[in-house]
Amino acid sequence: MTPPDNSRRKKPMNSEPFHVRFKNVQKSYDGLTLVVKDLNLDIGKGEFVTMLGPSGSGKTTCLMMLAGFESATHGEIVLNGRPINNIPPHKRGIGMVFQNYALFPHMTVAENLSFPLAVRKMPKDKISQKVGQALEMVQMGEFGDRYPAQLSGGQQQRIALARALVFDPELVLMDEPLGALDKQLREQMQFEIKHIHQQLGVTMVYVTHDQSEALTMSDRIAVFNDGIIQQLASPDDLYERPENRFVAQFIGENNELGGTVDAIDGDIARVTLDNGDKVSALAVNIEGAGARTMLSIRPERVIIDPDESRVPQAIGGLVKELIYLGDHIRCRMTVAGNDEFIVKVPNAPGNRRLKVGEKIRIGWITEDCRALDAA
Amino acid sequence: MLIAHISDPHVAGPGKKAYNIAPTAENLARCVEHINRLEPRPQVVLVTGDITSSGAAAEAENAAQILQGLRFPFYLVPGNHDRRETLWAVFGGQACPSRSAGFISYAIPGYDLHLIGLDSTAPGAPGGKIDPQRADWLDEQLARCAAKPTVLFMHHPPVKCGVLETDEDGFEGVALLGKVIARHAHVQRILCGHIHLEAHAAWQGTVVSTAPSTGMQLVLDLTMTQPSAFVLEAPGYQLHYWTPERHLVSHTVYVRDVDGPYLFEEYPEEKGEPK
Repeated sequence: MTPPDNSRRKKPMNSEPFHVRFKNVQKSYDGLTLVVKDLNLDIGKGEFVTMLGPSGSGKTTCLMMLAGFESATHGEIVLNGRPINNIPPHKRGIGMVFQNYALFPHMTVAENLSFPLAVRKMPKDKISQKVGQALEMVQMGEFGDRYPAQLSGGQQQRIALARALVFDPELVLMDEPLGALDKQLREQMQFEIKHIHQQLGVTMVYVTHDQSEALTMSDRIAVFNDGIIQQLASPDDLYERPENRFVAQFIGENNELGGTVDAIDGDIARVTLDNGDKVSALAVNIEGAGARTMLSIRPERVIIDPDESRVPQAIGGLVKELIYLGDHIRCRMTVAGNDEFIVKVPNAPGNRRLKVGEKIRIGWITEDCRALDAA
Repeated sequence: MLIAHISDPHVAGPGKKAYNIAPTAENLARCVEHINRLEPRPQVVLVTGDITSSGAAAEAENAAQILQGLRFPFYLVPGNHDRRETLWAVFGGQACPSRSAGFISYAIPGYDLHLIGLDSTAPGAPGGKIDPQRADWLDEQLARCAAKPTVLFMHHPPVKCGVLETDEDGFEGVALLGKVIARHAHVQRILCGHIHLEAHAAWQGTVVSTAPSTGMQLVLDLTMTQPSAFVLEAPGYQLHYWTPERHLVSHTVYVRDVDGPYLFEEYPEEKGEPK
């Protein structure tokens, strides 16, 4: 892969700490309901931020407002310290890749790429050099003379990516760019996009509903639901330290146990589960003693037959179903009335084989059990 | 298919206004932003001439920078304020995909409507001109796409519109053009600019439409007695919508801050904030 030519990359005009800032942004299409509610988000220069959420959560609307394709109803979007409305479209330095933002069908690949360069006072030989580099970057160096219709979906998407990068934008926006590709190609492109980001140091804002895509590529992920950012955090924080029930459920696999808070002692909540079992959990997002809570425990953090001196408590569970998956056994249990409780038992030496119908003891360390809102 | 049609941007040099009054570059950028936000999206943007204020290369380059902000392919033909060679140097091979015998005339196949850009300029003269060479070229182009509904776009309207200055500019060889158009029933529309006003007229079996200017609008004076003047009205452009029923419907859009949209419903007496 040829390293890109960064020598002409323009330095930002000022030393704003943030490349992009959403400030109290609201969006309404009908004047009655807000699809984006009071959004605040700062994106650093060179950062890869993913807006992740179910459809209708407001993530694409936010990207469209940043792209200038929609206007904010209230609030302000600031780019390099300037309100985006005060910057004409051609001066924003934004490259875009959208799933449904197709290549121009009547131009060859090379023409598609040279279109954004055509009149930046760039000499013709320089243009063809830039086009060549951008094509190399997406491993499509041989395809300059083809027309889009002669390319596969994956190849077209690579060209769209090259077109977004060819004029050295400072900011690249992508809306589900891999949505139409099959799983294998999608995973390959995820790594390529991640590598290109590392190589170029551009700021990337990526929209997807696919959490594994978000976890693979992002520096930080903004989890959207109902027009609100539920949590903004690095992938590991998001998975290991979800701050509310929505995030815990949306990111990765999650076990929930409902209960009532008996007492809070510093960081630790004592909780009575709905079947009467008493457990302790990390107090993350609960109102106080007497409040309902939903405990969140990841399947790989549940310990079978725990050494009861090492865990705060153990409770009983009934094995309902076992699925052998090679490296681990997936065990579905009934625990405190929840019969969809999943435990991933590593296929490790010394781990005993469970049997369906067996009653076992399970436990966890307090930090792995998070007491969240019951909303 | 949806065509966005902008005309007469009259962009001045970087940081300058046309006639030192009209913020034509800013107005064009506002139209670009407006078009980028359209839903459904146009497939193509056509620019019918007078890209520049005085024909200077710096003006064409400034306009190119702004038009580059469009997220759709755009094509342009020269107007009387432009210089052909300058336009070709800046836009040739891209927004002017090809030229024919020095004229920036070309066909764009591949869309639901066949598009033909026609160079109607005469160097040094404000009026339109079609000579036998261009008429023959057009006749041949139209014969080739006879099976397909076609849109012709050029700077000068081939009819007098009741606008003093541009009517006086005239159109040399307009009868020649008329004969060609009359021979080809598949010409759905002739899209023009030049008069800085929206106007429509039936002509030679088709319809001539002029788009307002993105830069500055003319004062309409059908008495044709007052000196020609412009006003800094909202920038405007047209949308030509080829409907599923195969009618080419033209809408004019003005880019201005407006209150709304409102649905046709009774609203609470006190207009509240959105919840």
